[in-house]
Order: sequence, then C-alpha cells, then structure tokens
Amino acid sequence: MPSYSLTASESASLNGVEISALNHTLTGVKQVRIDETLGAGLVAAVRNLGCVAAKIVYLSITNSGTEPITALTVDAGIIDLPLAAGESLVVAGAATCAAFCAAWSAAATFEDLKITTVGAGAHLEVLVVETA
Amino acid sequence: MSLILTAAQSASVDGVATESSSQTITGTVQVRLDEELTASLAAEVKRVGATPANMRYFSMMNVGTVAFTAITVDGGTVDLPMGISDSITVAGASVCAAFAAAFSGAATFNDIKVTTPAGVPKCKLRVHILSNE
Repeated sequence: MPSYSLTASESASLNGVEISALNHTLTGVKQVRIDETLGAGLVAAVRNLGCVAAKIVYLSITNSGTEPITALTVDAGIIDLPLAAGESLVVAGAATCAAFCAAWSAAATFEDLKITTVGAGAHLEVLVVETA
Repeated sequence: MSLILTAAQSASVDGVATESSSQTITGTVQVRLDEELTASLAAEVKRVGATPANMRYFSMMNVGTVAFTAITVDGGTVDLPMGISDSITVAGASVCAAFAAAFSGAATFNDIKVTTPAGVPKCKLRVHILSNE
C-alpha cells in the first residue's frame, strides 16, 4: 500500500501521475485518472469514475485544452461546474472532499461524470485518489 | 499590483506565496485571512469583500491543529468542513464563479462564517483570493 506524505512545495508521483502538494498526507490505494482530448460537438459523455465519495482524499480537475468545458456534472447533480481553458479545481483532505462531493453529486457518490463542450479543443484531466 | 502565474509557477503577493494551477492569473486585488482563531469559537464572521464575478483564484486551507466543523459563506446552506490540512483551490474565472455561487447563499462571496469545536485552543484558517479590478 503506497503512502505519500506531501508537504508544502513538494509533489509526488502516484502510478506515474504527479500529485501537487497541498500540505497533506495522502495514502493512495486506488487512483482514477481521466486524461483525454474531447471530440468536437461533444454534448454528453459519461465517464465512469467508480469512486466512493466517502473514500476520496484528493480530487483535481483541470481543463488543459484550448476550448471551454461548459458544464461538468456528477451523478446527475444539480451543480454545473464550468471550466474554461486552463481552469482547475483541487480539493485535498477527506472531510473537504466528502463535503464537496456531496454538494456536487446528487447521489452523494462520485461515479458518472457528464461532460459538455462546444468545441474540439477541450482536454479534461481528472485525478481522484481514494483511501482503502 | 499585477500578478501573472502560469503552469508550475508560484509568486508572492504582499509576501504571501500563491500557488499556480496551470492558470494565468492577473490579480489586482488580494484578500488574505491568515490568522489563529480563539478558543471556543462558535461563530465568527470574517469580512472577505470579494466579488464572484471578478474572482480569478481562490484557496482555503486549515493550517491549524484542530478541524473546522463547518465553514459557510454568506449564509449559504452548504457547510464545508475542513479537517487538519484540508484545502480547496479554485483557479479561473468561470469555475470560481460557479464555486462561489454553489457555496454562497447570496451568490456573493463576502462573509465567511467559521465554526469550530467548543473549547479548542487554536484553529487557523488561511484564505487567499485574487480578483481582477
């Protein structure tokens, strides 16, 4: 079971993916990663993250492309989270991750990610780390 | 003051290090709360004075040794607890606006209400906000 202790200005690699430090100890035993360029005119792509909200200790979402993502919803949640090119959101820590996921996901889980774009240049990176 | 951060960079604004998140941020206003909160704090409101429409970067971290049981903004119904070293960082205009609207009851981002367990000696909250003019 890998254990990661990150302090300020440090980073580590979990299964080849770099995790930014947020002054946090991360013990990651499961990692979900989505890193792909989204096709033109994509209006509804559902990605199965397969995460359990109660176990999430680290979540990062970045649009590293050149076109905006107009909405990201999880589990048919009511909050649409837009991400313009280069925008990102990072949540670290069990309590804050649980609260964020509960607010964002209607089912209080964190499984199906629905992505809405208007162009071909959006590139979504999602990294989720769970504890055992 | 103008601040431009790109990927993998950081900078200091008024002596406070601000981490980048692969985002170009041009900040002209910085709000900083970085203080130890007193014991038995049940409800303390901190005036942030940020406008969601102008927010470009937002970070909040519990840098103390005691967990916050709830953090609410502008009387919002979403309580955001923060364990020790828990943090949230949002970079970019549209996602900042969405985040603020979701967690703020008034769709603004002004008053942060902090709730901590009674009798604890010290809690410490760090909040950084960068906004355009």
